Order: sequence, then C-alpha cells, then structure tokens
Amino acid sequence: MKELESTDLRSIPSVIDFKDPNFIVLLAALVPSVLVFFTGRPYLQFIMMYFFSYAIYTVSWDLLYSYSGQLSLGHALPFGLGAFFTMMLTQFVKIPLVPSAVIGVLGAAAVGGGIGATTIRLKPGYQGIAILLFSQVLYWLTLILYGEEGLSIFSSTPLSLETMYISGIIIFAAAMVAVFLIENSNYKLKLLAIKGDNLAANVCGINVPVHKAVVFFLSSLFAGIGGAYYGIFTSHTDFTVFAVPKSFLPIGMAIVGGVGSLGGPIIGSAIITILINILPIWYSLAVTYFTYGIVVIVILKIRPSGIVGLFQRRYQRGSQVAKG
Amino acid sequence: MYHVPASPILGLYLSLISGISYGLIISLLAGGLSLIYGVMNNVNTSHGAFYMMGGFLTFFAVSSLHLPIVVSVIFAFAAAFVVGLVFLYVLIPKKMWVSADPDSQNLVMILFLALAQVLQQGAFIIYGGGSVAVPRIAFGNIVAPGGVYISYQTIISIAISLLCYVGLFLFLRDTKIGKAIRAFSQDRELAEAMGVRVSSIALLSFGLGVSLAALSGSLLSSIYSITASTGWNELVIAFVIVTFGGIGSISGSFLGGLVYGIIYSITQFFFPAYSFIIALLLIYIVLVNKPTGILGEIIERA
Repeated sequence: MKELESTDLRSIPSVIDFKDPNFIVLLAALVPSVLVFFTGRPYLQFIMMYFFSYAIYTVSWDLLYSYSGQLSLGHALPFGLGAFFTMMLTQFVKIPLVPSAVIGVLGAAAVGGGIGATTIRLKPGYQGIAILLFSQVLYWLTLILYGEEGLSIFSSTPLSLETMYISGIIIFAAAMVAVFLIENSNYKLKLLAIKGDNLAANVCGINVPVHKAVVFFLSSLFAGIGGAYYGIFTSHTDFTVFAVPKSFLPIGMAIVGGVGSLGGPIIGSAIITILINILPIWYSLAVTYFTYGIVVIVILKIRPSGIVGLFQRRYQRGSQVAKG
Repeated sequence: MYHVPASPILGLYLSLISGISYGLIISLLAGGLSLIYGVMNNVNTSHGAFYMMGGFLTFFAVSSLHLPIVVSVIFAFAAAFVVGLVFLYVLIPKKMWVSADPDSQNLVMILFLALAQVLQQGAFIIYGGGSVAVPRIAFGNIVAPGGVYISYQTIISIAISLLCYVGLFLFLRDTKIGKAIRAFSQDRELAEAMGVRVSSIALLSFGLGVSLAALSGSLLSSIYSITASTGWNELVIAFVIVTFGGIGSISGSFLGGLVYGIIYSITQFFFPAYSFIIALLLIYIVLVNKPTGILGEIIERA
C-alpha cells in the first residue's frame, strides 16, 4: 500500500530495456518509415502517413483499454476533436499551423478527457456506449455546422509532402516513446490494480475515479495528436471523422495486433492500414470495411491475444499484461 | 406529413402525438436491449444494426418476395429471431453468453461491434448507400379533436407496439419460460440449481431482443426511411432509454421510450436541427446524476 503511494515521484523508468520486444517492434516500424521516405513515391508515403496517424490513435485506445479497463466505443471523439480544433484554429482564428495543432491537441485532450470523466460513474459496459453517444452528437453537430464539405487547412504557406512526412516520423516516434514510458512506469501498477479489481484498488488507497480520469485525459491527448496529424496531412476534415467505423478502426487494429502492449497496436495498425489502402484498388470501400470486420471477428475467434500472442510464451514480460 | 400548425399550442399537441408514436416504437428497440442485458449481462452493441436489418428484411420481403406489407413485418420479426440465434451461435463462445466478468463482457461488445460493421457494410454492398422506404400498412388520415390529422400508419404503429408490450408482459408474467427468464435474471445460480437451462434461456431472450429491434426498424421504416448507415443513432438512443428507465426493466424502457419520444418531438418543434443532440444531452445529464435510472431502484428486473 505504502509502496504504491511512494512510487509516485519516480514514475518514469530510469533505464529503458532495449531488449523489450515492444521496443524492437517500434524500431522495426521506424526502419520502413525512413526507407519509404527515400523511395520518393507519394502514394507509399501517404500510406505510411496513414499508418503514423492510425498507430498513435490505436495505441491511445489500447492505453485506455488495457491499462485501466475502460472500453471506449467512441474513441473517434478525441481523434476527431484534434483534427477539427486544428482546422478551426487555422481557419477562424488564422494562427499558423504548428501552434494551432498544439492548441488543438490540448483542446482535444481537455474536451475528450472531460467528457470521458463524466462517464466514469456508469456501469463498465455502458461507459463505452456513453462515449459513443458523444461521438454521435459531435457527428451531427459538425454535419449541421460545417456541412458535408467540412473544414480545410487555411494556410498561406502549405506544407510540402517531405515536411509532413518527416514531422510524421518524429511525432510517431515521440508519441510511441511517451506511451512506452507510461506503460513501463510504476504508475502502470496502479492502473493495472484498478483494471483488475476496482473495489480492491479502492481499499488499497488508490483513488480510482481520479486515476481513471487521468488515463482518459492521457488517452485523449494521444488520440488528439493522431487526429491533428490526420487532419493536417489529408489537409481536410469533415463530419465522417466522428462516424462509428472510425471509432471501430483502433479497436480492430489493436485486436488484430494484440492488446496490452505497445507492439501489438503497431503491428495491427500496420497490417490493417495496408489492408484498407490496398483492397480499394480492386474492390469498393464497402467490401474493404466488410473484410476488415470479418478479419477482426476471425482473429477474436481463433486467437483473442492477436498476432503478438503468437510470441507470448517466448517473452514472458509482455504476456503478463497482454493476458487481460 | 402533418399540416403546418396554426399556433404553438397546436404544434405542441401534434408533437406530443408524434412523440408518443415514435417513442413507443423506439422503446421496443430499447426493450430488446434491456431484455438481452437483463438475462445475458452483455451489452448488444449490434442492436442498432439489427434495427437496420429489420428495415431491410421488410424491404426485401416486400420488393423481392412480393409479400403483403403486414406479412412482411411478421416475416422480418421471425427472420430476425432466426438470424439473431445464428449470429449468437456462430459468433460468441458459449461460455461468454452469460457472464459477469468484465473482460468477457468487453470481448462480447467488441465482437458485436465488429458484427454491426459487417452487417452495415453488407447492406451497403447489397442495397447501396441510398435510402429505402417500405410502403405503409394503411393510407389515409383520421381527424382527431382539435382539427389535427393523424395518419392511420401512426395509429397502427402505436397499436402494434402496445400489443407487443402486452404480449411481452403476459409472456414474462404467466408462461413457464417467462417465469424462468425472470428468475434467471434475478438470481442466476439459484435458477440454474432449480433446473433452468442457461443456454436455452440466453438463446431465447437474445432472439426475442433481436426480433424486437427488427420489428421496431420495420415499423419505423415505413414512417421514416432506412439507409445502410442507419442504426448507430438508434443504438445510442436505445442505450439512453434503457439506462434512463433502469437497466434490465421492461416497464422502465417503456416509460423511458415515451419520455425520449416526447422530448425529441418537442425539441424538434422548437429547434429542428438540434433535436437529436438536445434530447440526448438532456437525458444524459439526468443519467450522470442518477446512474441507476429513474425507475432503477423501484422496479424489479423483468
């Protein structure tokens, strides 16, 4: 009990374990990212930028799900807010892109986390749908306010593809390292205690609602980063970022890769991003997302621990968390 | 659909009538969600997709099988029952059908969400993105006191929903299976010890819940229209109604549906564009302050 409280000050690990499979996966994801930049093919670069954005988005969902046991079925809420706030700031307040992205991300974290904090008292199963409720509300609100055209970037100096790509790599790496540090800190123990048993954690002196809210704010922050980047590289945002298929995207990606670690969501988002960018070449978008749903169901049926689960026995460290 | 009201009072009167009919139909959807949650302890996140499926099943019966509209509605009800059972069997591992374990509940919610996506995109592939409307059961209006026109379709829909509620109530109160369902939702282990079979009760209540969702979709598809992306709003509405009325209580969802329908119609009269948002947020504020719902502590789980 006392140990849990006293670890507050040194919650960031002093030494990073470079043999951690999650870290290896992160490095392995960075290698093709850099290689694709030197190929100079815009289509490949766009797929990689989708991957950066979706990977951050998926990791933020997994942070909420695996480390505090809160299932968010409407995670498009902070994601879309990050994109929309950035666009609104460039278009209506007319401030440069970088500061508006920063303020937009912070705004997404504040609003998304604030909304999430109101749902904490609801029953676990119903919390997810309560967040879905707000993402639907924003779906209709943005449709009413900005129409089907949505908002575009308003900037006198548009970013070049190279700038966006390099900043994408940097944002991706920074966000992943940040999540990696959170997931390896001692703070994780508190969160896992809350996830395992709310009541027992409460008895141990952990303030359960506060920590649940903190994780929600953190998760909204990362989802907002993913969303703001998504808005910037597609240079446009409309009401469909709040649609339920967008909320299902990180859920399915994390499930395919394997929940509970950093590596799973990265692997899953890489696979699914490639799937949903390659399939529309031959088939319609409906077939693509139909296939995506089927893939998620099949993975959940035959291997609930995801692709990472295949290696679980070899790396006991990862399995400790991924089990839940 | 209606004449333009001459005065705000008349407008409110009209809103009340359309709110009651909409609320009653949508409360069938919520009742299904509530029944499933009460028995299986799992949230059916594909409930909205089953609502959409009910509309498309009716449309399929009318347009492809050339059945009369009344038969089509019954066809949608029965077909949804079978389809729901098949999905439950194929999709969800048997030990997860009834579970109080949060991990298993989360997995079931994700599985059903994936199923909802598959159903939605499947409808897109088959019928395209356009909207589909089902013919009305009866055409024409009656003139109610106050010079207000009410369509026969509205009256028939109200009658069908009330009939469903009476049927459901009698089924749960008097039949042996209904008593088993009630006993099971009150005390699982004791009911199991008394010889109630978990799998059959879960199957039956899931099928009934899906059928109610499909019936609601099938009735509303002739008043509004249905597209492949319909369903998410309805899932959220059903959730709000169920939580508002008290989770697991059929009479709670009846009352919650009425309240939602009336609030929705009245806000639609004053702020047409924002009605959905205002109605949801109003009820959500009540919810956050009283998470058990208005009837949650008074009414027994049934």
